[in-house]
Amino acid sequence: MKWIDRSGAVRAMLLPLLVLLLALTRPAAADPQRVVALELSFVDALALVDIAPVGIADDNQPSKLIPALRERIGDWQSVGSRSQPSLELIAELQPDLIIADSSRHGEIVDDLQQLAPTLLLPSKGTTYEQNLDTLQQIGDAVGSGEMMRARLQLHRTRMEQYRDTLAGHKESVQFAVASDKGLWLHSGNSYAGSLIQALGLRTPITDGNAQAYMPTGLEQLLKVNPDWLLVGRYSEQTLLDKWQQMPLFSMLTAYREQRIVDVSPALWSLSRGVIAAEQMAEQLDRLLNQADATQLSRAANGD
Amino acid sequence: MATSLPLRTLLPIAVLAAVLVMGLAQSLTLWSSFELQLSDLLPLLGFDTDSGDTLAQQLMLELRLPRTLVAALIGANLAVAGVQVQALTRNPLASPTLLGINAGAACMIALAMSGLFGLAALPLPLQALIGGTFSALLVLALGGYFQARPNPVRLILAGIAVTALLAGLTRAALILSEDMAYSMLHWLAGSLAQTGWDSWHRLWPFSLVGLGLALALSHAFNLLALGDDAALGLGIRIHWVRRLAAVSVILLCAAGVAAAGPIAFVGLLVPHLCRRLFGQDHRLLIPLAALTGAAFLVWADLLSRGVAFPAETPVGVITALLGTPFFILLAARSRT
Amino acid sequence: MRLSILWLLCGALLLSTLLSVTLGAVHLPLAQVWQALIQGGSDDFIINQYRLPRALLAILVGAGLGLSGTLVQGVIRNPLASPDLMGISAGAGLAATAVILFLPAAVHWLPLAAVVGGLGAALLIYALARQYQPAPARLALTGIAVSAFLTSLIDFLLIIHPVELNNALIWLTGSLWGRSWEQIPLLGVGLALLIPLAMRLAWRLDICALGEQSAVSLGARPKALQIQALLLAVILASLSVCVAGTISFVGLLAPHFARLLCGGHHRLLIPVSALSGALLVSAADLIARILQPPLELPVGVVTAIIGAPYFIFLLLRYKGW
Repeated sequence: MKWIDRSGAVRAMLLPLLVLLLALTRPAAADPQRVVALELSFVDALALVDIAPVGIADDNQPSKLIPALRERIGDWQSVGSRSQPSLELIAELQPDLIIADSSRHGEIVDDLQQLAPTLLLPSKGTTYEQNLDTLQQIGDAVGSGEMMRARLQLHRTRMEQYRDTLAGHKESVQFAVASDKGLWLHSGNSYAGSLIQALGLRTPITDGNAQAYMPTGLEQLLKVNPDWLLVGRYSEQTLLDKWQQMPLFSMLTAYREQRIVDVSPALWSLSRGVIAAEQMAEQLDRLLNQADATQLSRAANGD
Repeated sequence: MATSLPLRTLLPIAVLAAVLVMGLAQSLTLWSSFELQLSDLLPLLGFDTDSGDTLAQQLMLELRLPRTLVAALIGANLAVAGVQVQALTRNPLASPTLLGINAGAACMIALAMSGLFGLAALPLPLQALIGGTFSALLVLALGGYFQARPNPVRLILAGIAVTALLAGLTRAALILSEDMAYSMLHWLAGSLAQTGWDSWHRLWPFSLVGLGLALALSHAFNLLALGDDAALGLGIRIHWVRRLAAVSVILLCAAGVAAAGPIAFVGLLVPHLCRRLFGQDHRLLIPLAALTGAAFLVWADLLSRGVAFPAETPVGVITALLGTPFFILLAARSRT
Repeated sequence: MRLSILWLLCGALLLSTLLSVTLGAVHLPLAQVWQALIQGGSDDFIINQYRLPRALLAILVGAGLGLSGTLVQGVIRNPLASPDLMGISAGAGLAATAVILFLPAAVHWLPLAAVVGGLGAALLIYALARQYQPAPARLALTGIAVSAFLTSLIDFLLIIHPVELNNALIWLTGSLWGRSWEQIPLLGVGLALLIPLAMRLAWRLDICALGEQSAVSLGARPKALQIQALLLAVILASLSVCVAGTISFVGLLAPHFARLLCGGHHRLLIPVSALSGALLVSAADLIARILQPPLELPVGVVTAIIGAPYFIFLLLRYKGW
């Protein structure tokens, strides 16, 4: 009698386990073909595994994507702004995977889940390393885990090479965005800043508590005094142009050595991805290693 | 006339002047990543000492001095504009913000930023100036200010309506151009961080005219406080007083907004404070409000640099945080 | 005649709702919309999960704000009084912003926090009002000053937490984006409870309009009534604020509009202003969505752009200066 009871109990425990096993070995759903990306960094990741998203939240401005990306993914449907994408347009596209930004789209995750399986990942304000961490998840989600692994390995190799060619350089490199209303230095806690450090170069602001984007005045800039100043312009006339009129500006090392360079803000600030990182590394290599290349050609800037 | 003032009045004036001077001095040296000292300036005055550091001199003269002077002047402007608005509406709780100048400037800049009408080609201060002036005139017109017997309540209501409309438009433009929202919010809170000698040179002509007008009208304001009829009876040409006062207020505020963005509460709080200290005589009130406003804003600017050093806090936030508890206290204790 | 106004408003509201469900960023023919409403199917999400709950929410939020405005104006007897002008919305907004920024996990406490914030602001203004018995314009200015203070606190919080900036900005302007069936029970139950309570106060509000002396002699207790009505108003406004952010002008315009349509008796005024508020927000949200798809404006911007000029029109027509 006891033996029968025990086996009954064992069978009772085995049953749910069996169900679980069956669920796990159920043939996987077909790989997602129609992907909607609600942030630009996700587009970069998808392009790495040759997936062209059908919908992108691009703030209705296709120029926010760097040319290298635009060439690789062809056409897409805009689903509105990154902060408030249009749920209707996403629904109309009938996606089978949605990748959303955890800092912006937390509120609508339930609605998105109704439309398609949704991957919620950090994007806004991420550093270079944080961005890399999310890539494998994206690769796995679209069923191209192996391809992503291989591509990431290739990326690491390339970055190693860049690190080697940049090894001897002790100069500090600072990226900033400038508009007519202000100048924001991207500290070591921003994507650009962390990339610079990942390449073994120095960036001036490395305080762990510093904001990612620091609004800065001329006095503060003089204190920071980077050897190289890479500037992404958001308007025709910026504060930097105004400051250049002042004799104080000549105290900036970068100005004296003609090491203030215009770079594309879309590439250095908005993109945050592997393709972007490799382009940024290449630009740094060209700037620091080629003595006469203090101006990046417009083609190199991705215009 | 100054010697006939009682000690009760002279003492606060002396204190205020001292506060202002101290603020000016501190503003030149305090809270810098460099070691700045006033002695660095001595060589320029002809003293032959070794302690002159050219970088320090340059920083103080090119960056900090204009910023401090602009702060002082804008503070004076806003305070005097506040006195006038309160005199005109006969309402001690009125302020220049009511006229919608700040909202108009912000709206114009936000619209320019979002690419409308190609306004972005104009320099920022000009955008602010045009926007501020337009909205002030709109509020005045809608509020029936230029009619025979304007009603202050109607003016206030018009101000509320126009400000709300412009604020809505501004927010819409901001949201449609997401990337720049942060920079715009920074400007919207009012910041002296980027002011330099060019700001000063754009500011002082307008201020001179505005302050001069205000002083010239001060006697008229005294009479206006007795009521429109009484004032008319005493020979004041009310229409002209109103028009000139409006011009003065618009000049003073719009120039300030063009230089540093919208800074609130100075025009509301300082006149109140000054009335408590110095009474209702506008001939005294207006210059002293200028003095108080200057001191107030210089110190607010100092604090804005120190609160989150080395990051800058917009000075408008500091004036709001300082100003309103004060104001609520004052309003609660007034008995009229 | 009075009752027919109610029917007219209901009809307009129905029309607005129908349009809200039919129009949007994605163009769907009427037949498909009808089918989705009844059966679901491929357009189920767009119609039933996105447009329909949003349309209903607009009605509820608008009704709450309109009603709140009427109560505030009934108590303070001042055409300028409204929850947003008096700083109640700002108080609720500040509390909610603080919760969003500092306690993001406690999102369930948002309604309570908003109500507490609104109450705090209301108490502050009430205390100031009792202190020095101001004329209506003065009271409005006090409210504006308090509102400005609270708004600048909100701005301060936003500046030191820039990561959350855009969402908070949108929320502060008043937006129905991303709202769904989840928020409807809260508002639905709230209104279902509070509207009858407001109706119960109706005749006493009428009496108080005659002046404090007459009210007391007629048996209404003005002080108690003021507190009850203001409390209701604050709860209504705060609930709306916590769901949709601070939508301006509805609390000011709906009572005016209602008064234009049906006079000053609160028994009619209360339902008519609720319907007017609902109509205003519903129409505003429709416009916000179809103006420049796929970009959506926050509904608060549209109510300000509609409301302010209308207010100016009222100003110009008013002869009683």
